[in-house]
Amino acid sequence: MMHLLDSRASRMSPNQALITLHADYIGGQHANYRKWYFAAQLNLDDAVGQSQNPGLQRLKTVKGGGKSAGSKSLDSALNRWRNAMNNMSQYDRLRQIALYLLCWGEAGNVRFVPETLCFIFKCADDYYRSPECQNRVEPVPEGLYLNTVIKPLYRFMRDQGYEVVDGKFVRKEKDHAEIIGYDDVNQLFWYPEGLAKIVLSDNVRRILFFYNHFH
Amino acid sequence: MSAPPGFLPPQDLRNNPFAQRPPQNNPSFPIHNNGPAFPRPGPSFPIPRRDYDAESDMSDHYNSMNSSTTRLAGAPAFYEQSSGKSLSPPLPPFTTLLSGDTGSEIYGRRYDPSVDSHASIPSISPSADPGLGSTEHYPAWSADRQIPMSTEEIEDIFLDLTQKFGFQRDSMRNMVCFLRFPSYHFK
Repeated sequence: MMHLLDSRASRMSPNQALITLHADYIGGQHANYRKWYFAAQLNLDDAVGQSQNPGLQRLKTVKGGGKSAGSKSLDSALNRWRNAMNNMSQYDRLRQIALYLLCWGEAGNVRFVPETLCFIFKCADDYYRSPECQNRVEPVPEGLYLNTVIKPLYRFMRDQGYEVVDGKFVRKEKDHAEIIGYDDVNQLFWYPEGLAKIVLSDNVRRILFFYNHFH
Repeated sequence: MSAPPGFLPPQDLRNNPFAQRPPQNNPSFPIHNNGPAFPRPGPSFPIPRRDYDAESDMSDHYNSMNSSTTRLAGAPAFYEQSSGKSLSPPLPPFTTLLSGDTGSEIYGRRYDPSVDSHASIPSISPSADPGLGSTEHYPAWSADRQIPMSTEEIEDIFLDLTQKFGFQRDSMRNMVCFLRFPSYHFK
C-alpha cells in the first residue's frame, strides 16, 4: 500500500495518488469491483436500502422489480455510484483499499475467482459500516478471516479437482464437465441469480457459514 | 559512477529504491537512446484528473493514462534537452540531481522509468536494504507534501481492520508495504 501510494505520489500530488489508486481498485470505471457490482446488480439492492442482506434480498429484486428496472434506473445507479465515490472522504478511500488488499492478501486460491473476492469484499465492507461492527470493542482472534471465510472456499475448490491417494493430493480423473471449477464458482458470484442461490441451496453450507459471519 | 549497476553503494539506494545511475552512464542499455519508456515527471506532465466525473471523462482519463503516444510525444523533449547530443559522457543536469539536492520538488525526476531501473539494477532486491525505517522508504509520501494522512495513520487503519476481521498480522504488514519492503518486518 505504501509502495503504491509512494510510487504514484512521486508523479502527482499525494491526494491524487490516493484518489487514482482508489479508482483503480474500487470505484473507477475500469475497476473490477465496480464492474462486478453492476454485473451482479447489487445497485438494486443498495438502492432499496437492503444492502445489509444482498443474498436474500437478491431473490426478491430479481423476481420482483428486476425487469421493470430499465436503463433509466441503471443510469441513476451509475450516477449514485459516481457521486458516492466522488464524495467519499480520503479516509474512507484508504480504508476501502486497505480492506480490499487485506481480503486479497489471504485469499489463496480464491484469488482465482476474482468475482468471489468482490463478493467477500462487499460483505466485509457492509459489515464494517454496520453498527454491529462499529460497536465491537474486543478484537476478533487472529486468523478468523482465513479460517471462516477463505478456508471453506479453498477446501471446496481443492476437493473438486483433487483427491487424496496414499496421503498425496492427486488430480481427480473426472471430466471437466463434472467438476465445479474456478470458472463455475466465479460465475456463481457474478450474477444475481447465482447470489440468490447461495442462500437457497443446502449444499453450500460452508459458504453460508461465512455469510452468517458477516451478517 | 563507472561501476556496474550491481555495485551501487548502498547509501544511494537508501533514499530512493528505484534510483539508478544516469542513463548516459549506462551504454549497455541502448534503450535509453530512444528516450524513456514512460513519461517523466516534469513541467509538461498533464494532470487531467477528475476520476469520478462523467463517463466520457473517465474514459478519456484512462485513455490518456494508457496510451503511450500522447505523453511520449512530449516527454522525450525534456529528456533530450537534458541529455544533449551524446549519451556517453556524464551530463550536468542529471549529475546535479543525483548527487546533490534531494528537495522534494525535483526528486521526482530522479526516478527513471521503472522498466529501465528493473532491468539495469537486477541486484536490488528488497532484502538488500534491511534495517531502514519505514518512513524513509516513501520519499514521495512525506509530511512536507500535503499528504491526506500519514504513514502512521494508514497503519492504524490497517490495524483497526485487522482487529475487526481477524486478518493475520503478518499478512497485514505485507499489505501495508504491499509486498515490497521487508525491512518493515525488521523494525
